[in-house]
Amino acid sequence: MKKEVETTYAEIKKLQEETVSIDTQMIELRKLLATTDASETLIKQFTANLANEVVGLENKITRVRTSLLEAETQLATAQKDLETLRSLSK
Amino acid sequence: MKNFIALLIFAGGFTGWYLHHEKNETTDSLQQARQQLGDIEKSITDRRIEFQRYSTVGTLHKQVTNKQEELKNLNDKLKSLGDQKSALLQEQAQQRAVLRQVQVGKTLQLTLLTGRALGQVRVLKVDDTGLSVANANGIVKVLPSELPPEIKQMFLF
Repeated sequence: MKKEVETTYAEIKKLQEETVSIDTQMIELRKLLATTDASETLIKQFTANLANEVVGLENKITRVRTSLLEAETQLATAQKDLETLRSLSK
Repeated sequence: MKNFIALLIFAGGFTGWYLHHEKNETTDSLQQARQQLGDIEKSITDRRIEFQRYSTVGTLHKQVTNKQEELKNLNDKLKSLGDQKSALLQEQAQQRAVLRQVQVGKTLQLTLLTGRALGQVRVLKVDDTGLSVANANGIVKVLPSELPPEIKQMFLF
């Protein structure tokens, strides 16, 4: 029975430590929202907005990557053309 | 002997009382601990749910920040490539102008793609908009699109 008491207290300690850890992390996480007392709906809405923003940014990144590839090709062509012109002027 | 028996009875009684007392204390202690554990478990369940929600927000926020940074870097790189390309095109234009200038003053037989024959012409001026040539009838402005391919190539159009 004593062992059971010890086990229970050990579990209590573990949960208390988890609570402290959660509270510490929550201080930083709460700063992300404008209010410290955000409702579940507000958090869900904020999460959805962030998820949309991630998708939007990913799309933009994809477009810019494509533009980069095109720009690199154009640059290589321009460099080649310039070399041709230089060789003609020699 | 009597005393010994009395001592034994006393010791037995004391031990019994002690064990009973210990058992009661442990039982109370266990009950308290279980009660406390139950309360904490209830409280932490709500905190875990709330933390999970905020944690998702945190993760997404970090992703947004990282992707914004990535996008900025890519845009910077794109701008740099654009600047390099502009510089190359400018140099190309300068090189072309030098090469075209060499042709100024030369004479050649010129028949346009339209079929119009200008005859012997002297090149007066060359730029991106075309050629200015002089023939027996005067000065003619010729667009690059009117030039035959070999002449077009000669003047780097």
